[in-house]
Amino acid sequence: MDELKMNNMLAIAINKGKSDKGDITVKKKMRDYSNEPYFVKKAEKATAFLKKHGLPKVISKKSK
Amino acid sequence: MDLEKYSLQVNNDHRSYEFYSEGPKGRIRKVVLYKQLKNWDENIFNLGFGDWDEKEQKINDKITSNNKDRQKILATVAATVVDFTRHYPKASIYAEGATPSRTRLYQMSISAFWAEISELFDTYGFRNGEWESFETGRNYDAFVVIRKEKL
Repeated sequence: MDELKMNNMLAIAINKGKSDKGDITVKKKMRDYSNEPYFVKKAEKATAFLKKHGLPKVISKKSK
Repeated sequence: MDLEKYSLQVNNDHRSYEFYSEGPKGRIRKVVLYKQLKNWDENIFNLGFGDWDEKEQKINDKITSNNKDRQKILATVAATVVDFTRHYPKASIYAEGATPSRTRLYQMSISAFWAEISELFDTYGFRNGEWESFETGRNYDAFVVIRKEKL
């Protein structure tokens, strides 16, 4: 199954709405959330977790 | 299943998303942020999700807004995963809720959309001290998803 077909399947599954199609638009001047303490803390927690437990072995090969 | 989702706004690098939950509690800005974990050889991003507090001008993780639109919110967050990985196809996404109940919500979301998710993503759950391929009906502490490679 090619990617376009898979994307369409998932898009159909999560877009079945009568009132809201869930469009995605680029907002050029979005606030920069990357340094929000909440997100920074979550990322630190994620790092600590993965340092302790590692990643699924298959992932280590795929994402390089 | 009649799935609705909110319209999304995304920033230029497709790592930050905003949408507005609308319901009895009013209009609440929701933010999804994919933050790359530093000092890793692998291309790992943490999925962060929270409510924007207009008064405090920060993400507020202390409250549950409960706008009676949980399924719609979950579908919208799922849509950000699809869009983000379209732009970062090699990325792995790590997700864990701010609380165990929120982790359970993520799990329910994955289970609800499993037929569609499993077509597009490889999904792993952390359970009993190790990672395993995600199975519906099991409780996990954290998740990792990665887009399947093109065949």
